[in-house]
Amino acid sequence: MSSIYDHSIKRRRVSSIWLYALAAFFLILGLAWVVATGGWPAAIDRLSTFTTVLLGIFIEAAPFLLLGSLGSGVLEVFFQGEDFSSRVPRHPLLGAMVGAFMGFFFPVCECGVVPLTRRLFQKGLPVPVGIAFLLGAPALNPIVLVSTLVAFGWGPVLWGRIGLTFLIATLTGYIFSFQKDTTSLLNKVTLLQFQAERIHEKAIPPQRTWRQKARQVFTITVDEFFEIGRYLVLGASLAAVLQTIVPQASLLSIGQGQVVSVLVMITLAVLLSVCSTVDAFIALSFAGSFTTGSILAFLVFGPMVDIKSTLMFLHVFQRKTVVYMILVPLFLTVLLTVFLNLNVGF
Amino acid sequence: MSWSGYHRLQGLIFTGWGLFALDIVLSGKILFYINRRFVILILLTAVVFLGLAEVVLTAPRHQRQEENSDREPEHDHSLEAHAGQRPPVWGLVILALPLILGVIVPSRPLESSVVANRGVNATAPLGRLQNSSTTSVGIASTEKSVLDWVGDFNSGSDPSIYVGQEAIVSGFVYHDARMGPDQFLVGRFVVTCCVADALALGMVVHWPGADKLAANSWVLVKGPVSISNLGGQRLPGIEASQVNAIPSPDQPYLFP
Repeated sequence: MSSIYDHSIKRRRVSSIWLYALAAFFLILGLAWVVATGGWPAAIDRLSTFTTVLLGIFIEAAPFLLLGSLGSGVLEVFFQGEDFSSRVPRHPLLGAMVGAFMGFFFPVCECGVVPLTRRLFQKGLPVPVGIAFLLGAPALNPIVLVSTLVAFGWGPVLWGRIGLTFLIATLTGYIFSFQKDTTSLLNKVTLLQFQAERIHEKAIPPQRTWRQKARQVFTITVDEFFEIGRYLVLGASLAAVLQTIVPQASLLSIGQGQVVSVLVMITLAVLLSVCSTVDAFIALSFAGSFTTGSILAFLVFGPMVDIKSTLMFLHVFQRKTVVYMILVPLFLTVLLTVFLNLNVGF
Repeated sequence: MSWSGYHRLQGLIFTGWGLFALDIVLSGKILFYINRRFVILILLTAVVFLGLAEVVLTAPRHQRQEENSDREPEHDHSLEAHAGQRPPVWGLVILALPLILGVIVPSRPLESSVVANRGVNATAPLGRLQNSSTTSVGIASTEKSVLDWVGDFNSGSDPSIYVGQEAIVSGFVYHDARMGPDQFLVGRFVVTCCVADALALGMVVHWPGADKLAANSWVLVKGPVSISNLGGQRLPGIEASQVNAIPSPDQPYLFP
């Protein structure tokens, strides 16, 4: 027991070093920025823009993160002792397919999906299924599909979004199922927390009043919000900084080509870190001047990976796992959408 | 830090966020950050934040002793579940940071200087989605916004049908390096979700005193519409007969 405890302390120290490094990075970046852009008045102007964008992203995402945290609390309290591993097919490919479609039962966007997946892992959901859920659910859920339908109507963009998201989420989840011990994909701190909570779960008296249950749901909601929320803030800050550094104007003027347009729209999706519930309307403003494949890439890759969700993934998974969770969908998205651009030519 | 101190700070930060959100919703500053259609959601979230703060702050961990005596002890999630762990204090700091920034940095809408980075879009997000057409049919030309005009020019039909129509639009002044001294851009940001996705739209205004107008100041422009060009993009223009300074509006962005 004491060795586990020591280990947890060590891990914690490592993760706070990481945070100090990030803070130092921002500080240096900030100072370099002040020097490069000609003094303090301009810097204060930019600080105001940075704050506006940061708060914009955070305020917009907070309700959805809160909803996901609440879902996690409800799962914890009302599905106590439930084993979700028995609820999904044993076959890894079928399991991943079910995972990719689970967004229809848990309609969440990319902020809310992270605490929910974490809780499902704790309840025994196989990791590959959870990864397929994490990547698929932000786009494959009723709310997002309706907003895509409203924006683009019945057509290649809607069907392409459903098809490609399903395909990529399933394949990525399936690839992870080849790992022998899939729990090793998860972050060590998260695993330790699971253990602690499982021991604790057994100690809970089974009969509790509704009041007590509700109180527990809300306490977990708050804990969860703080746990994942810090990654949301860091991600939103990074997105806000990058938005002021990367000139979108020149980015958008680079490419209308079949391949380049896809890369540009993927970069934009990551940069904007837009919530998947409304990204279809944003994509619409580029539909006139960009290839259909690149619009699809924006709508398929954006909900899976952006700056804020990547940082939130790091809280749940090992760093290596996160790298693959980004690279595999990236590779598949580029491959498939460029293929569609070149061979279908909508 | 003890766990109960940690939970108290959690409650404090949630209270702070709840009050901050309520304040910007009630003062209307919320529209500097997000699209109008999400305001009700933020109001709801503010209330939930305050409610959750109440739950965390009034958790019965302090009166556990008394409760033990007469009924089943209320389950305390925090103490047992976190056995052997230290509270993640960094999370508190990080979640308080944007709140502190929001309080000390005065809220301002995006400024025209941001246009230099984001560029001017020639294509607008579709406005009236239910019509399946981009053109703002049925709106008097003098009532159309910058968003409407850019949408019209982008709708596929020949924009020459709009030439000569009288336009009255408001927006901020932006001086683009590619423009002459008698031209400026009357611009608006279009926000679909939150300011992170703001797109700059604009109309090229032909006006003799253009270079004397202060960047980022708000103007009301009147005059007939023309077809203009900016860096190879076709944009609607205005042969201004009148340019008047106006105060910046309460709702600086346009919402499609």
